[in-house]
Amino acid sequence: MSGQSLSRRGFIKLAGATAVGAFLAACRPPVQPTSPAEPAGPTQAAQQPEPTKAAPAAVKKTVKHYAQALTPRERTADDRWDPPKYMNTLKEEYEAAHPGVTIELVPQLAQGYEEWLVTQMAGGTSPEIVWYQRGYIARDYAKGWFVNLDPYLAEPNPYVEGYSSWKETFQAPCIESGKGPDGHIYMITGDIVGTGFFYNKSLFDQLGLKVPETWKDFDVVQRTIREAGKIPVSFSMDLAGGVQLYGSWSTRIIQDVLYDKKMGMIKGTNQPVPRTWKPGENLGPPVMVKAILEKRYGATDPEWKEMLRILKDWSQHWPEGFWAFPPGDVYKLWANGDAAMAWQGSWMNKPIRNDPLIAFEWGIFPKIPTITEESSPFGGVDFPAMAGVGGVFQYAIAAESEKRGVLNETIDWMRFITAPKNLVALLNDHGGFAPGVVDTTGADPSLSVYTDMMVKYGCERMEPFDSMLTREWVDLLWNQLQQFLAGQIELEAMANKMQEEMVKAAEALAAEHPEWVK
Amino acid sequence: MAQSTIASGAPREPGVGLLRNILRRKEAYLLLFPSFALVFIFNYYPAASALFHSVFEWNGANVQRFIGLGNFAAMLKDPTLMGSVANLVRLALFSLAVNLTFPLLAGALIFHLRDLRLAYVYRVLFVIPLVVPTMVVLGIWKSIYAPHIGLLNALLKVAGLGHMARPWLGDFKLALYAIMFIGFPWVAGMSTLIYLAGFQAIPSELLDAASIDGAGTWKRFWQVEIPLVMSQIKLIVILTVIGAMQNFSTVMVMTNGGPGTVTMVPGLWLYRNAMYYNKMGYACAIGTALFAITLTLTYLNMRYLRSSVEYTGI
Repeated sequence: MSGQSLSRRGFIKLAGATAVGAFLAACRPPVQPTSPAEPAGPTQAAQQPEPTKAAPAAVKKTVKHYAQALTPRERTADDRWDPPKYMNTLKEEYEAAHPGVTIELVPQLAQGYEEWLVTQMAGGTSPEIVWYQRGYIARDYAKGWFVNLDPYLAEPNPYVEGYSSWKETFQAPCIESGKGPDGHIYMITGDIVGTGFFYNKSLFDQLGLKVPETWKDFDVVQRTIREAGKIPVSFSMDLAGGVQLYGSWSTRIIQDVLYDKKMGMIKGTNQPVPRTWKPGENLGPPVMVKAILEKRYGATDPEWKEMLRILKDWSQHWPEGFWAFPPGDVYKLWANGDAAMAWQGSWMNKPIRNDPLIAFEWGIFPKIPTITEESSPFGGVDFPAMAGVGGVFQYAIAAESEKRGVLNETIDWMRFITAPKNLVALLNDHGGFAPGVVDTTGADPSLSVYTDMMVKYGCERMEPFDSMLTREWVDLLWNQLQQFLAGQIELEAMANKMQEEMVKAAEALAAEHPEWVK
Repeated sequence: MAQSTIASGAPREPGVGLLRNILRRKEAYLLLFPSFALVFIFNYYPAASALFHSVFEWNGANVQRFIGLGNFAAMLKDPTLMGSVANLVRLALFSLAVNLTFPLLAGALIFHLRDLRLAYVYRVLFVIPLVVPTMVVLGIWKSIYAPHIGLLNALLKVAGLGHMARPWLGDFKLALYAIMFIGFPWVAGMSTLIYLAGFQAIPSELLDAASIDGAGTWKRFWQVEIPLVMSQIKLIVILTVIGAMQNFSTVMVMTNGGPGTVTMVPGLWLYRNAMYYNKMGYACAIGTALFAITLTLTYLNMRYLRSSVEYTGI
């Protein structure tokens, strides 16, 4: 037995060799994917004059697609309504027409998608198509992870007639929302999402309340509801999703109202900035970074502080301990009748109509009551629509798909599913998002309440905090906002802290993108 | 015999190098290779990579710049990290206190049961909860703590203590304690089994001798049994310290570090820097620092906490 054992010296040598090997392997210079100065797309485009022809190949090719909530799945015991399935229909139809291609729909993750995406991208193992968000683009576009879609969008979509380019088939704000700070489009946005206040109409009638038109009336309504023993508005500001959702929605629209008169100054044009959902008008990250560094915008502005004051004042009508209230329970609190209102959105359109738990008559008011000058010195204009582009249909194409030799097939599949006829059917099946294409023939009319609001009132002009600066900064903002609303820190302290960090974040971004501040 | 051979080292064969040694026992090494390869890929490589990248400004993709000890210097100026270290110390100390008492007592009680069948039943009952996934357990506790529809507040209201009901995980003063309380009464789990195995390994002659010498239950427990399970205690201390250093999933699921940053722990801050802030190099530095602290604590534990063997004089 002892003759077979490794001597201590031998073991130490072996262990040493292993450690050195591990260290040397770890010190290997990482593979530099693509220089930030040379995004993947344009180069590829130049090399591929005919990107759309997905000719049947001898070897069957697979396009993996992470379709997020459009991923077909079976109904589970938790589902009170049928989950979407239409992507399967499109997949079958496409595969029948393209025998050389298999579409693999990657199962949707229950949680941790962002972490999964980062690791998949870094490891070069991601699906060809991934669900993506506007807020991620500024963070990731220079990493060379995604295909620049400009050259493909400039070509016609073979599945659509009557348009000279694929890009023209989309509503302009939708397709423009996928644009990175370098001006290239990295994401296809095919839907429109809207939010609104779902309210318990039975309770409103019982208390003799009407849908409020002004912020002051809104306050009276909420007080009456609270005096009746109910929670006025179901709301969440917890750090596990609540503040990122409700904090983001509320700040972006309140800020748009309060900064209305200063918008041109912040933009640097000194001209009024119309509230529209047309592209090119919004104050994106480059504009905001420059404004911050030139002290035309900051967290110590009276308008910024007023935003905090309004939120703090409003928070008295939210559930007790709203900063720890799970966002998933916001709807439940309203549906079981404990809360009179809940800020929800078009994605609940189908579920709410099929929810057997709701035992009252309900309605939606999609327009937030106006903050008049009576309520705030910076008030006086209507809120923008609580709607925007991009919900479930926001997809980017991994640059890795070219290395795998399936880029053409991937683009072709994207063109197929974004053909208006297919996209409208796909979104109707889901039931929670309006199509973001020009031809919306056959779209679910119940969603028009949100798109009408968007057309009538326009969207916010300033870049939302989520994507204005860095992720680190916005995390700190939500953290500070939560502490402020919970009474842990004072308004001035928060404003000063956020101003200090805002400048740091803007400086970091300016160093990374010197062209923004020229 | 085998132990003493290993301890004294195999007899040296002059001129036989490491490579020759390996070739002579190639079958054994071949069989070991898959395990070593996996350990290398999933344990040593990432650890070495983290050590290497801790001195770089690295975004995890394509920006890499050598900054020496810059990341470590930044750590000292990072208020969130410093606050999280304080939370970690509190959580680790609490975890140590809990793991050195409740499971130890549970193990001792099972060991002293005269009915062996009943002892077996208890042992099984303590093992069963181990098969429940941690995320499920955390989900249940999150429901218990939920402010409006949670069990804890509902029970308080039923008991006429409604004034004590609060958003437990959202209370700036109590959130960390609420996290500590998860798993109450902290007896079901591996620690109890480890202690029980230690008690069962005590030679019955020693216990009999103690009884004959007139030692009562408590005296026997403190002066005979505890010293003889010191190896297990030592192991539990090491495992608890390592577990406390590494664990951030509990905080991430329950509070995500909030409210504010009152429940932030270094592991979660590392994760956020790596996954959300593009600061992979900084995250590697935090990981390296945690590794160094864990190694030091483990060394101190090994160096200064006596084991059962030293007590028995074997």
